[in-house]
Amino acid sequence: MLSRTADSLYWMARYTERAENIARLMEVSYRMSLQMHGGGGYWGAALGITGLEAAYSAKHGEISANDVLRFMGTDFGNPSSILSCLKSARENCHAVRGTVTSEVWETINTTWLEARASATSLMQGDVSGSELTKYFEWVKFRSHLSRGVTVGTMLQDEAFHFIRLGTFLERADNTARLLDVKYDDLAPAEDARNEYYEWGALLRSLSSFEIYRKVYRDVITPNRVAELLILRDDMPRSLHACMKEVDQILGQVANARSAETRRMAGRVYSSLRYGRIDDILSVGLHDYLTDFLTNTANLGNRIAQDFLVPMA
Amino acid sequence: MKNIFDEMHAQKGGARTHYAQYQEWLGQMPAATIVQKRAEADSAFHRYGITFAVYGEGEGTERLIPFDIIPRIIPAAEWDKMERGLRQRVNALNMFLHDVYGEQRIIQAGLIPAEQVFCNAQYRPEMQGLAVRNNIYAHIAGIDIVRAAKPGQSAEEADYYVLEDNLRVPSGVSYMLENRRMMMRLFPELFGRYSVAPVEHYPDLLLDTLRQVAPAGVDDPTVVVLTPGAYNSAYFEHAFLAQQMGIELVEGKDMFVHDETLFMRTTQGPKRVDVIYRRIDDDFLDPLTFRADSALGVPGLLSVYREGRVTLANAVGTGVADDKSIYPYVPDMIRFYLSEEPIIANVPTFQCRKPDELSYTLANMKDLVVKETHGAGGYGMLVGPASTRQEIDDFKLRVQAQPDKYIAQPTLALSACPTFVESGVAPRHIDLRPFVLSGKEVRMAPGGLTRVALKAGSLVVNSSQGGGTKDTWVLGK
Amino acid sequence: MLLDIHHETTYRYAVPAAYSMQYVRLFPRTDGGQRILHWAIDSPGRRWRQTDAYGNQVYSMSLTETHDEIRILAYGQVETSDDRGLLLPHDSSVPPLAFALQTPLTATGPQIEKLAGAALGEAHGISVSSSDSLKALMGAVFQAVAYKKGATDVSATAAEALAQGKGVCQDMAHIFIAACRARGIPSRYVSGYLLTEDRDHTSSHAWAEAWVADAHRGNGAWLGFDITNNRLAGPELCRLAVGRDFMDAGPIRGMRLGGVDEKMHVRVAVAGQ
Repeated sequence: MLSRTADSLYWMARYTERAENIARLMEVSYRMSLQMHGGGGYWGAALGITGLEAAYSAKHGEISANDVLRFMGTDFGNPSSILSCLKSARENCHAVRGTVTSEVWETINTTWLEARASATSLMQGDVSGSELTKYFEWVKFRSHLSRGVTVGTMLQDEAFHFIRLGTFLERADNTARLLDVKYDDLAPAEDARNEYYEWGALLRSLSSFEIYRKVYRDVITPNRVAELLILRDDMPRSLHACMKEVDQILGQVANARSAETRRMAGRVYSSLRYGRIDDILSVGLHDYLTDFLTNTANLGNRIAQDFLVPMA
Repeated sequence: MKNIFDEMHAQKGGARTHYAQYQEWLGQMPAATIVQKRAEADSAFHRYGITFAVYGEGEGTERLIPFDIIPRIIPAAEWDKMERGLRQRVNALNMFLHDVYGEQRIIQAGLIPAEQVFCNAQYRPEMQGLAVRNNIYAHIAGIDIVRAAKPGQSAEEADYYVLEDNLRVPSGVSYMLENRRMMMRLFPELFGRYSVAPVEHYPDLLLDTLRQVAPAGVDDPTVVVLTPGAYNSAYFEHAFLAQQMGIELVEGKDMFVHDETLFMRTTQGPKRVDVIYRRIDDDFLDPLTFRADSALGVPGLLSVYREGRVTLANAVGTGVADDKSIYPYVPDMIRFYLSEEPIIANVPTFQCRKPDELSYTLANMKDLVVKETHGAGGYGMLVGPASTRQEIDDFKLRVQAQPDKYIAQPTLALSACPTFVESGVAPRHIDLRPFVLSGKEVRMAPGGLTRVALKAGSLVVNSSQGGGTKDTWVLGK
Repeated sequence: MLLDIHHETTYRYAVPAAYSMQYVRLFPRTDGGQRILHWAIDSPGRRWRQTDAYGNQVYSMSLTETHDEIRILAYGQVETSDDRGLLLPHDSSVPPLAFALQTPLTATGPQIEKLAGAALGEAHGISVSSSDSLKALMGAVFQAVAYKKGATDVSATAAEALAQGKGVCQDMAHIFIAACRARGIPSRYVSGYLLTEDRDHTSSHAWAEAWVADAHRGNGAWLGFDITNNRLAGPELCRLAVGRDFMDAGPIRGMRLGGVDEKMHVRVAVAGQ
């Protein structure tokens, strides 16, 4: 397959996943801001996760719920806003229309067209909470649909592999960022009630609140949350589950120069596969996650060099 | 104009023989069914994405080229002659290109003035002495044909003429294929009544042609389609043809040159490319040879081409044969290279660089179409019958100042074919673009793309100016 | 005259390049009264040699290894004819007429028309040129444009350089060519080396050749005009390549991927014997 085609498929998936993750982040931040009065800190943290504080403050200055929602939801000037991500996903998909099934193209194109239409009305004046929640729900739903239609209609060939590679690498990156910010910036909380809400919100943002209950049948503690989101291989958004897929896919698409990339992915995966939460915590979760994010970023660069944008 | 040939109805009344069954069938179709079928066609074209992008778009809005459900029918004998004429013409044009970039016999013979060729902006010195496989330059030619009566002739005397040769990157063949698919889907019963020559094998013919001209010594060539990208107005066609042929659709940035070889970047490493069906203009092919600002081409491509290690289809420099200033000489080329008389005539053309033809043009400008030889897109053109006296007088001054830059032709009454328009069925002017493929031999799918001017009285069939298309039926013998 | 030539071009990148492709025209022509005694080109990567349509020797060079420097060294000894104003017969399969067509760099304009009119008259066509009128044109361009390094860049058109009244040898050649073509006279660009004592002029040089239709008993011939020095081409010049303009005949045309912050360094030494 042409490298450029693989690149478009990979980024189509990454941007779709990223839009979903930002919707999740906005949703949880919004909910926290309602539950905790004076919850400005959560909006700041939300910007922190995406590394966009500077861009935001240059544009809006003071942090306000409305401005953050606009900035992250519908601002075309922000390349990481939900709307920008959906547009990029659509543009990448458009470039490879002949490679994906018409169902995949129609789903991604429709998502973009509808997002653009609803964003225009949504972001005028003050935003009502229920409208917003509906918008974020809708973004998540469309992302589920994109994934579903991909798995449900596409031949499991190289094109499919590169889509999945993008999805899982982006998701691993996002889970690690969410966990890092909540754990380091907010814990330990000043009182138990806050701690419950914070960790509960984190779990909800990753659709894992119920999973946590099911798995642990106990109160929410930071260490268990970390274990669930890092090491559980049956938890679909955990680092372990994501890297397992990444490792496997790199085995399927391997080429003459990708051995080192595969080794790197395998090393990250094994450390998750055989890792223990106590060891991780003794190193320090922040250091561990920083290391993980560096590894996935390097992995992304290596994948680009080996498969997606080789210079020669 | 009174002498317009109607493709369906004879002037003496009644349908022409080859349209009789169709007319009868159409007469029995309830109006509501027609409306419903037309809507069905529209929605299917939209769904399949058979659209052309509007420049600077990227917003998900794309335009549809209107499709008319009444076919243009060509009897077997007419096509037979036309096919022979096209083969002859394209052969001669390829021989001309080989001659221009080689021995230049036709110029030495004094049939075409040297300055018409070498001072033509479409002449590419880079091609001089560069060998191309099988001596074929225009592998894909789109020859625009009209049926028209000359001034003074009656409609029934109308004949086919070549209006223009397109030897650079002719487009439209995807519509020919999709129109047929659509007609078979909407009206399968018609294909039971008529024996219509199939066109669906065109992508196979095209791929086979491209494989035939692969560099010497390459047994199983890698063929690709080179597109300027997703925002080009003809991108749909590029993607469609690549998909139909089962080959990669590449952009310039997907390829690179190393060690006398052209490669494309794939997920499995560099892969050699042998034949490029290129849909970008000469100027953009190699920024180290032509326009330095081109990001659409491949740096170094011409060095691999010169080495004979990649085939470009069409070759570089074919524009020197389809330029308006060269068009008048095509009948002479046919006589010179093939020792045959042209089977399809040119539209009579006056070259203003010749004193007697200049004076004729100046005296009769109100009845003529005067064209600037290197002009394109209607720029520098005067349609006599549609111009004011002042406009004609102004234009005369321009022609007198630089006569060698102009040609003139009589205003032709293009034939018309019944077409669905808002008011019902009405005749609209049409032309025909057959696609002629040259590899080891010359082949073509029967018929071509029929374009129709949807505005009443309009002669402009171009899709960007309200033109539509029809399915073209060549009948079996 | 014997010319010893040593020409080194070095590109350095602050951030390395991953791929480079260049066309290199640094191999002297073997026509035009010059003879190569020996010549060599040192360069990295893969290369292949071709004769282009104009009869120039072109090396295509590709480099796929990461690199932060490209060094191209051309050196050798060339013997040039001692005659000045040598009439050269046509020498390639591109007919002289093809050099009468304007290119973007040699497009005409009001100032060029004026220059052409004064020196060449108003008549138009391949046969109107004579060496006297062409010499007059060379003088007029020499008067109109002051030699000044850095006044223009390589993409400057003839009309732009003439409007400025300043330029380098490349610009003067383009203006001369543009004026010839404005009258339908075939004219072409020549790049090469110049033996010079004058430190203001580099030893890499450009000049022009015009088609003198009545030369060689009406067969026509190319005559070289070193406009920068206002004299006919002579033994001090070594011809590397000819073409319609700088784009065809410039010594190196290339592109790269990556390789941010390019610095080019050229060192040419020409010594006469």
